Amino acid sequence: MSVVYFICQQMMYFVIPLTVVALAGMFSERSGVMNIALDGTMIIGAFCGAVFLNLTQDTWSGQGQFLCAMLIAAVAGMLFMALHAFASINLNAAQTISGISMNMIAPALAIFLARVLFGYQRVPYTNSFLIRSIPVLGDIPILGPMLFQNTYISTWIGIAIMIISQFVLYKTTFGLRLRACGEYPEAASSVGINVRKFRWIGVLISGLLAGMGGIIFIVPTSNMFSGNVAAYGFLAIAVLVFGQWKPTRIFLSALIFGFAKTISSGYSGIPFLASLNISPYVYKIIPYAFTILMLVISSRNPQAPRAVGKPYVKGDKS
Amino acid sequence: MSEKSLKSQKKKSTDLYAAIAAALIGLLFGLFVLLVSNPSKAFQGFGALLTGAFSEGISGLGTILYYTTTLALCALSVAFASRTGVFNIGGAGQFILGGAAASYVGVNWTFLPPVLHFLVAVLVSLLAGALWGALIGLLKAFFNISEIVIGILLNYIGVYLANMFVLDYFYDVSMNRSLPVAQSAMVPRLGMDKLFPNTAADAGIFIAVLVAVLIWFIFKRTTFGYQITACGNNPDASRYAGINAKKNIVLAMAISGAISGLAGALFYLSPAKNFIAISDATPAQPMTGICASLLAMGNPIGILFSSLFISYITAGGFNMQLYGFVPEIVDIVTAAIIYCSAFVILINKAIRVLSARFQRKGKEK
Repeated sequence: MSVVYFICQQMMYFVIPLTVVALAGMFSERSGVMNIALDGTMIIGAFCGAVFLNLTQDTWSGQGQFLCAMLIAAVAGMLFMALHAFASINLNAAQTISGISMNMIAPALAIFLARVLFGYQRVPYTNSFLIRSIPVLGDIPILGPMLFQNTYISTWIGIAIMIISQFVLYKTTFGLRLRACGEYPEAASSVGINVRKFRWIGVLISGLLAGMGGIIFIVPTSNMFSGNVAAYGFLAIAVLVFGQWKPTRIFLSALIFGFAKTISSGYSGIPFLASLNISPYVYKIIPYAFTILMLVISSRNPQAPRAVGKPYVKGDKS
Repeated sequence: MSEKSLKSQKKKSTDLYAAIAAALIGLLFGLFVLLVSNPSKAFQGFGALLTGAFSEGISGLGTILYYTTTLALCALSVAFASRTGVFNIGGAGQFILGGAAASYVGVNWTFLPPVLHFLVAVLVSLLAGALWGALIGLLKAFFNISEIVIGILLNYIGVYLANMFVLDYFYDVSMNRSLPVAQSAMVPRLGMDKLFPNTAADAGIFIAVLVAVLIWFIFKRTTFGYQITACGNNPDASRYAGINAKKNIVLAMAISGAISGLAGALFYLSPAKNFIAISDATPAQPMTGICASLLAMGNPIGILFSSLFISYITAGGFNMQLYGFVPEIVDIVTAAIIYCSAFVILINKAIRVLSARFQRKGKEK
């Protein structure tokens, strides 16, 4: 049973950042702006959050500090993503290329700044955020150890974000208008919706969530920022596609992927798999190969927003 | 000169100006970052970035050409795929697998005579790269999956597979890397070491130039090149014209992958390198290759020059360490250049508007 608990607890460390970052991608792409800059934005968020944790670690600790770091990471991600919004909405630039340059500049900038600030490429911090057991809930038999022990506050914030996203996207006027901009911007524009404004908001929310996703990815899995986020920004795109651009399905596909990832990184802790004696690289390949398989399966029924990646020029009828 | 060719020449020259403008803005952004991080040494550091490549005299050119070989081939690979409208971001996987396959031949098949050994190693790298590239093409053409997502995932799988392959067949435990490639399989020097003493220069650059000319020829003069371009420009129209778009996408991706594989072979078989380190990081050259391709707007001959430029500032970037700057600044500059090249069309338009205004003023006078 302890193996099951271990897998469940570990899984959440991968599932939550993936969900949050895939939701980040969703807000941008639902508004019609293709966003492959998620990985770079995660790096910027993780870097800024880690710097904050490093600078305040002597005087502050605990959940308050972590929440503050998440906020700072989110704001940093939003500011960084504004570059992508500017290029793709105002300048009608090629969105893939802009995204790629953002992904290139982010690790270079983070490592450069880390060296300038600390002298090293790494930003270490004291990790005091693990919640051993949530009072009352952690004592429930079976469910308690599975969900409410060895957890992080970010897990619950991530789930809240997923529920709020579902609500915002489908139950509010804002969500309806945002989706309209991504499906058929000409129609949205004809009823007086400012397409550019909605796309800006979509991309900024995207930056906010992706930046936050950066710090909530590195905190549970390590105690330093080391210049990258293990390509989670890209895996999140795969999760987004498999989740068909819908919040709850995104969460489900993140769960499936998180399971594959947990097996691959924690196989040595699972007696049955450890006894098989397979090359560790096989386990490293599993999540990526699995993602490709997921994409092949979901390719039969693509639900991508119709106008994604196309710059909107008012009055352009093509 | 007919009006049409005049127009195309005009377009080419504005393309060139736009590329130069993007490069200049990128460099200025680099200077800005330097000024923010360390104002007192910023200009010295910037000077090192611009001139550092030749701090050891003319032999610096040897190092630049050595970097250019790999970079130009990676960029050509991206450019070839982008003609079909497929963005090959999976170069890193093709690169490392091509390199690993070539190294395997280079280490183990020592029964082959010198030049043939090298040629066989290169051939194997082409095959490995082509396979990995074609996989992206297949998934794109038949399952309509974003080639960007697939490419990135395959990069990681490729790196892990290459590591596994090295560990199983030609691993040097003491150094945690692959066994060194036999002399007979290394890239020939062809006197480049005499021309540029004490540098890594080898004959790889001639192969890169040859590939660039070949690609230029394919697109300019052959039916196959025309079909590929047609698929990229308008898939529906090309299907209507009887071109098999799916077949062309797979074929173009296989060729693109083969070029990336070749880049990997020339990189890991070069006398200056000759081993593969066991690492989980994806190789950086293919990413920079994307930048070189974008800067040249996919023009094969232009790519030779954009690669030369990026190699030049990369070589200079290492010299910036003298002033306490980290070489990552080169990545920042190249990224800023790509960001600018993302709206090259806009810069193009601006140049055209400005030049039109300028001409009108000239006429009024």
